[in-house]
Amino acid sequence: MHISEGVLSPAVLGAGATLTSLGVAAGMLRLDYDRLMTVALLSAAFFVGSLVHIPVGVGSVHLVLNGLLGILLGWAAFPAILTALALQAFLFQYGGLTVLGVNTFSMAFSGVLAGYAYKTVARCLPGPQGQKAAAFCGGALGVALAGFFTAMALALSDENFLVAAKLLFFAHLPVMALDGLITMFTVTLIVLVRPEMLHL
Amino acid sequence: MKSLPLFAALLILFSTPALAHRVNIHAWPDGDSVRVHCGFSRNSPAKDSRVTVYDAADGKELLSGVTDGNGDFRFAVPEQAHTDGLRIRVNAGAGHENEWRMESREFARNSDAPDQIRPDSQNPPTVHFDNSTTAMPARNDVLALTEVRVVVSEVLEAKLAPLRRDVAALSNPEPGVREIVGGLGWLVGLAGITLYLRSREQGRRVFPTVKQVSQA
Repeated sequence: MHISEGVLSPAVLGAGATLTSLGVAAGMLRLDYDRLMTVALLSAAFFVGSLVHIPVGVGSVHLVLNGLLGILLGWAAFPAILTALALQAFLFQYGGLTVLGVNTFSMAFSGVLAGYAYKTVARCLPGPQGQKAAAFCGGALGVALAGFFTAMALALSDENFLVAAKLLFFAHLPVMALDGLITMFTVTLIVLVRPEMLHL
Repeated sequence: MKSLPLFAALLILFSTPALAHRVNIHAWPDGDSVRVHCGFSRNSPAKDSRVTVYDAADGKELLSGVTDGNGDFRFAVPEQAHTDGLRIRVNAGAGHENEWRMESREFARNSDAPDQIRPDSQNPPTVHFDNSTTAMPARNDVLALTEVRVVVSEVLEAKLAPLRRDVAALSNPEPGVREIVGGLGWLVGLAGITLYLRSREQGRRVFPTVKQVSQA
């Protein structure tokens, strides 16, 4: 999901930066500062999550966790993911500074959408099982949509959209399942322990 | 949890080793050719990735190819490498690209080599390494030297292989504990600073300073 430097065209980079600044502004305006530590902790979870490699089959996958951030933080996922990605670019050389806008948008906006999807599903299927299903969908959808936006960014630059989207989608199927499971367990736990965290 | 086996099956079915965060590239001259190795983190090679070689000075594309199953690619040193150097770029798909630069001085011409190896003062000027038509001993000398050079370079390459791997690993470091802890510290620190600044603002509103009171 981390697009490297020098891949995208300047127009796509500019559009990504603009959309990300709008998202960050929306997140900061809606942010309740009493919850800032929660935002920082989830940002840390995102920051570390992509280092957690899980050996699967012949290779390994890493977590994205943007769905979880979207469900728990809403639009505040934008500043959280922006900070985490900036630190990853500085400290690990993942992605890069010029592509920060595009990478943040593709992961944060998909997280926000996953958050709305979670709320919709949870409303349609009340009860603990529905809650679980909704959280799983949210977590998996976050990764799938992030792959979609990444493929879009690549397609707008020069790569063939279908090829990139297919590659990203199939490679991230295990990540979707894992992210879905982790989101499901986390949200279930939070509903049990601190349900007020979910009512933003 | 009836669905867990299904997930496990999904995971194993669709796992692809690629698509980490970053593709690494490392290239080195090997005789008349250049060898390129491309891989993702954790020693997984970047298979079937497109490698494109550019002239480092004017950016002209010189050649391109695809890596094999081990993430390796090999090409003959182009003429421009001796004057301008090379810029080697790998595209592993899905937005993963990286490049490696090689300067012109990395490509010593084979014809330059004898002059560098041989101390001129110890050799009589009659012994030449090119098609010299002097006495027989000189010819044997030439043959022996070329053979020695081949053998030495083979042995040297074998000895250097692990070193090259180490250099490649060092030039593409994996994030360590230091970077991770540092990143976490940054996140908590940024949140802390923001909260501190806000609490100072609110504190002023609740407990106005002497100056604010006297102004009011």
